[in-house]
Amino acid sequence: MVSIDSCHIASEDHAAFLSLAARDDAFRHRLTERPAETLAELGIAIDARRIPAAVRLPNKDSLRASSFIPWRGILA
Amino acid sequence: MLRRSPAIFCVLEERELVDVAAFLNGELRLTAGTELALLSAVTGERYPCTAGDLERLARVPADRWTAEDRLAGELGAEPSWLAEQVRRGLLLSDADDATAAHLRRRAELLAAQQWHPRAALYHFLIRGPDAAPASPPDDDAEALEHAAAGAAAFLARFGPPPEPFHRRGERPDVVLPLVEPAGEFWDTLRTRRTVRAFDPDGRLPLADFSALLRAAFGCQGLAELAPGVSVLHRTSPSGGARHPIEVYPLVLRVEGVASGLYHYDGHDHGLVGIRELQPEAAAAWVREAARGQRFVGSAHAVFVLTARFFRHHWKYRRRDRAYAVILMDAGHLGQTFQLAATELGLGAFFTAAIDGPRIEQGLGIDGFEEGALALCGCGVRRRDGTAGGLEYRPFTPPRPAAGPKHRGAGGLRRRDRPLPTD
Repeated sequence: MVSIDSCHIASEDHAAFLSLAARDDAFRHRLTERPAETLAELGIAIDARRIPAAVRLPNKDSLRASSFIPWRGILA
Repeated sequence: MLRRSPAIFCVLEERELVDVAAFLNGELRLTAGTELALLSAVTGERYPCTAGDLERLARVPADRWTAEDRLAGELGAEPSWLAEQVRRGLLLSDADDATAAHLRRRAELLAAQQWHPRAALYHFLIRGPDAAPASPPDDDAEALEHAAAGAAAFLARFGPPPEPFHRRGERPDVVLPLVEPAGEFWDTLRTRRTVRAFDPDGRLPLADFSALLRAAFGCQGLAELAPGVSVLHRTSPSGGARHPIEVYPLVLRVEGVASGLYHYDGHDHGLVGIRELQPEAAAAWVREAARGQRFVGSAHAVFVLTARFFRHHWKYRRRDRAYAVILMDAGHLGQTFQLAATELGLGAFFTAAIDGPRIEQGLGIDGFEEGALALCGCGVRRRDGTAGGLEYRPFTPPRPAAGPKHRGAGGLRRRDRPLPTD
């Protein structure tokens, strides 16, 4: 994982991050409860001052419908 | 002693970045950023860097070894900076430690195997898993729903895609006769499709498995171009008749063959065992190899396509399009495989969404002399007939009503531009 500065995820990494956040309840729970530690597991450093006191994540449906997550094609 | 890798590329990229702080506040937001980065064909990785890093690297000779102390002094660099560049494959070291020796050998192989540097960079940058979802949908309905949602989201964000038919003009100048030949070959062509649903209780008959290997990947003929230079003939074409593609069957459920990973020996038409795997372990391995595509693990046999790069580069030495031809070879074989499977009444698929390094480790190949390109697989189709994908409406080109504006192949309509002639 590459962090450009203290609070960004580079483009080739964000889809994996968003995919986890869109599908994995355990990941969402960890990210909500222990954001700095969970992000660090992915190699993402974030300035602790930028973490809100009460973390709330975009809901899963909006992430799954998001075009930020690469759309898997169906070969035919 | 150190020298610069000859396979470094520098890029200045405009990038979209996820704003994590906004994300933790419930908002999905991207911000734009510009980044200077170095790309290493030796490691297949991308490294953000500063202009200072780039300037220092440019001052390191690539054609001769230089003592580390001397380089550190000339560049004003800390030993840790030099060590980091060695770890990244941007500098090569003559040290004996495993990492330095491994990366040095890779750089030597790139040159010895006649890779074009830009082709090598492309291949080694894309061979690992990319940012595709880690847990794609695991059933047909969800996969289709996901595809529909993805298409809708792309439409909303990027606008409509190009039309499926590229039409230059309102109607053709030459209306061709619609000929639909009858016969098994033509039926096989027309009924070929990707199948991702297989009978969970089925086993692939050994005869079908053998016939598929022989038809799609076997050697049908040999020719000697010169003493010591032989080429194969397969049922698919290959650039320069080099046929660099090798096939590694992963047997999951085939009658009479123990499940596990094999190499296909085209000379003797047989299998050489690499390792035995229980069906469940084989399915788990290939799902990971296919980057989480779960249907791949439900196939009855999967075939890993690899390339022996020097088999091709021996003729096409340091040619920038040589790698593209290798990929086309894999595509040709994939199509022939699907047609052969269709003719046998089996379901089949082809995917290039693979985790190259994981596959190469499993096969015991190094990824540099021989590397993974794609997977194809097959099996007995599910009894309910579902294929696990889109259902297509039949399409037949409309025939224009006879009239003065439409003429058959016997004549041309007038055009604004003259048609080219010989």
